[in-house]
Amino acid sequence: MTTLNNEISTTSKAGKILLVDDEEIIHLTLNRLLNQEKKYDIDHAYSGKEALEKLNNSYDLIICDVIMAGIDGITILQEVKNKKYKAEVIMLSGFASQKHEMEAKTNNTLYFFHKPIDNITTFKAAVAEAINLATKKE
Amino acid sequence: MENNNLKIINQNKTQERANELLNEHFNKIHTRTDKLFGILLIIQWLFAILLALFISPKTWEGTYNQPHIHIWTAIFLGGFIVSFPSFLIYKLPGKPITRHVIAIAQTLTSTLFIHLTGGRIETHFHVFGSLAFLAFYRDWKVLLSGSLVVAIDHFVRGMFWPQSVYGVISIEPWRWLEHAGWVVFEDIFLIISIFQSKKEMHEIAQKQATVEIINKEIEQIVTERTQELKDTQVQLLQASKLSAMGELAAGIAHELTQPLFGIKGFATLLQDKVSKSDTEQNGNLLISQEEILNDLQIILTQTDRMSKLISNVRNFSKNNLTDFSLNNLNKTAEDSFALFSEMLKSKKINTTINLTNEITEIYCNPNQLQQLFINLISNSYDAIEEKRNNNQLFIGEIKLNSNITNDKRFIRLEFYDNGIGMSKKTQEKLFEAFYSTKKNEKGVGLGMSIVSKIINSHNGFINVISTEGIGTTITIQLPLTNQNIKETIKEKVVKG
Repeated sequence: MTTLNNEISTTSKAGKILLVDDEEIIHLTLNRLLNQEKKYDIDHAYSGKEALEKLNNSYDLIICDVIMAGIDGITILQEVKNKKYKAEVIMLSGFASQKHEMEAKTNNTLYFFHKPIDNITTFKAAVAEAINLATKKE
Repeated sequence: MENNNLKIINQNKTQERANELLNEHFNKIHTRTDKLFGILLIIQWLFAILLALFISPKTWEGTYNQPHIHIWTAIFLGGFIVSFPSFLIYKLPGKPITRHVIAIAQTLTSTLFIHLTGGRIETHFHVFGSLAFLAFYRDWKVLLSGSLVVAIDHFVRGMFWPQSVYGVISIEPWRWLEHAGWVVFEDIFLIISIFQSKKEMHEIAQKQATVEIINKEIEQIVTERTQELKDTQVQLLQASKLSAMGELAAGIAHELTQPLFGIKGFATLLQDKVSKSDTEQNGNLLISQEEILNDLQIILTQTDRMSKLISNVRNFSKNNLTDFSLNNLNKTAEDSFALFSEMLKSKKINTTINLTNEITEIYCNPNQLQQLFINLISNSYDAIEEKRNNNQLFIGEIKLNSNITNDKRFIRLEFYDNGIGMSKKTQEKLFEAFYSTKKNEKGVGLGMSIVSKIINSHNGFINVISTEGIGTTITIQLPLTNQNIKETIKEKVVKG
């Protein structure tokens, strides 16, 4: 995790992201994909519990897995909205049922992506849009 | 049409078998009667010699009492009469020729007796006795042979030596016909009784043949049905496994999307860098060799992860439900849980697996055991889901522990869930096929009956403790080695 954070340049931050997923490979991949052009400040949480602990108003975007052991993505989403944090939420899932997707949308998730993400360019655009929206709220 | 043809085939079969049985029976009667006559002929021969010794010299030669030609007649003529049938009884028992020769010898013995007793009328009764005895053969032709000998004998001796047969010096020429008439009179009744008894024997043989053929058909049907049942059971196991597979499919798909996303992401990054290198750097790569190797390694690790999962699924789909061999029980248990991991995680069900490392290899069919674990996990999953319907905040828990029993003969598996539990009634019917408490057609009620069958086929034991609303603990004991299975069976037999 520390190695991941070290990769990030502190000079030109394009936005602060909290990445929540219990899969190491998802962190590894998203970290590299998102930092390809822009330099985001990416924070990592490997479980719902860790995400709740880290959650505060400094984040512009939460990218969150839906299904995790213990506290799931929907709970994180609800927490962000309840606490009225500026952060937008993009849900990311591989196993989610229609019910999960509906739940996420009624709780105002900005986008709901299915793993593996078909079009990475679209995903990057969504991330940029989310951060744009969050920064406008300030 | 086909039915009729079958009937005809069956009738033919029955007839064939009836004839076979009848022939066997007749052969037995003929051989047995041959032997009886063998003994009788020898006794009669000895009796004839005695007759000649004590009676005939006095009766036949009047006042003279001396060893006479009749003693030699009794010994040699009698011996001659007995010798042929005795030879045939020894060489060809049960054959028609044997009984005809016996009939001739027996009636000749009668005539010898008559001769030796000086044509006494009482000795003629021996002829009637002989004919009745010959009727034992149930062959009217034998009576004919015997009767013919008597008639010829009486006729010839009546002509040339009437005293030898009728006891008087001169007789009427038709006297032999009177004797023959009485013989025919007896023959008629004997022949009627022979035909009746043959008819009865035929009926009995027919009935026996019918019963035998029906029994054979039933036996064949039972064998066929037993095989069908066995096949169906294997098919049932396979079908229920595939149905579990269907439920698991979504979870497995998710499990595959994680590494797939990794592969896709890193492949995209590499592709990007390499293609940009071409345009911007005149063929020089924007990315170092070390970086490329590092990214490729990530891709390869993820493909390995996918391969492992696919091979796990493939193992589970295998149709081998009959072969037993030494296998790692812990791996089977862990692989089964791995198939469910996403499903359980999505429902916030915590799993704790704590397996013994003391002994892990047991003699088993791993496919059956995987099926067993999957049925148990699936039941626990449903029990927890049902409890959650009443309380959304409820957190499910499934635990699997294993240990070796103190006598080192069994491995004990404890499977626990904190789901809805079972009522007493459900526990009683737990192992019955097609008993289910699950709603919405979730199950057909075969899971636990299959579990019980699998445990039986492993010579193991199962014990269920459940409290409604609290949870369920299922304890399974499986024998540790092949040798152990044999011992357990022995014990069961001794105890049973």
